[in-house]
Amino acid sequence: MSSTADRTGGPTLTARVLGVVLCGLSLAACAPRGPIPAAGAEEGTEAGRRNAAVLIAPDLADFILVERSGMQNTAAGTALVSFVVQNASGEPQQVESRVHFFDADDNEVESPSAWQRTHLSPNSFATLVERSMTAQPVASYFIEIR
Amino acid sequence: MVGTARAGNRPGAPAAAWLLLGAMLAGCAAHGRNADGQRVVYEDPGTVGRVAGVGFESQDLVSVTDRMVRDMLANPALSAAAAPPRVIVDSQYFRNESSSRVNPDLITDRLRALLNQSAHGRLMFIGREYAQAVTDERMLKRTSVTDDGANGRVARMAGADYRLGGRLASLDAVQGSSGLTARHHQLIFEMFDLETGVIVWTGMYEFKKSGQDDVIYR
Repeated sequence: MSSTADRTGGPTLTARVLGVVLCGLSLAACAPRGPIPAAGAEEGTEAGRRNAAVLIAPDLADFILVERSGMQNTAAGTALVSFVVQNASGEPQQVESRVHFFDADDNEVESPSAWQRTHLSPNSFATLVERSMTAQPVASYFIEIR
Repeated sequence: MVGTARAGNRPGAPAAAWLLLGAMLAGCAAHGRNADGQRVVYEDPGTVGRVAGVGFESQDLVSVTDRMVRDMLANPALSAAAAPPRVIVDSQYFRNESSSRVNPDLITDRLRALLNQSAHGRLMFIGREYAQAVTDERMLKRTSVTDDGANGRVARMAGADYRLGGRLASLDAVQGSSGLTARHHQLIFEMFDLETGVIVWTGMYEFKKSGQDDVIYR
């Protein structure tokens, strides 16, 4: 009789524990994931990701920071984007970065630059630069870091 | 008992069994060499692929040419001159002195193509490697074998102002005990004036890789 009650009555202790674990795992899976904006970057919409940097690899956010970025024109009329990257860890790190260039209508004026690898010494800053190819006016940029 | 008697009456059966066993063993040998088969896939030439070693690879080619083109086009002497300078970009003066097996034309052809696509008239490109073809055609026109074409004649072929030169070099180190190999590549590109010899632009790119290199470059 007692064994019948265990089977058909309320869940056993093991079943309860399993339920709690499964619920926890489901909630963890629902947690937001994806690109983590770097310092100074606006979160959210595509339009918001202009004149800013985004860390595409989420795990980078623990030790890579983008301090600031800016754009100026070169003497030849192309655009030059510079950004300062910090390795806040005690280990050497490697990152790859590339830059998209946009005109005033938010159209990409050329293909994004090729991925460029940068080696960062422990606890150091590095200033990285990327230039556009076209002489067409560039109004904004978007930096990807992975 | 009956079954045994039947099997014993078939002299070909042991031979077939041996053949079957041999085929199975052969199959096992092939299976070990190429366990699950290697499916052919397209890969992004700009990132490290499934086959990677310490040599000069496609992602290096894409990165270095992209960086050099952007650097050249930001140089006012080359891309903001009053009259677009005429340049020769080929591998005539670009040497591969590294221990990596690389066709220098891969590098200079890609540079020229990217530059020509992006310059939009800021630079004029002279195809010096086609000079003989141009000479032959001019001869046909001037001997009236052909007409002058839609563009007509010019007195002389175009001369160039600048030419690309450079070198790919490497520094290698091998650890005998482990077979670990390290290779540092350095690429220097220079654009020199074809009248004065003055170098008006220099670009440098370098990278270092290490690993137990078991990749054969062709």
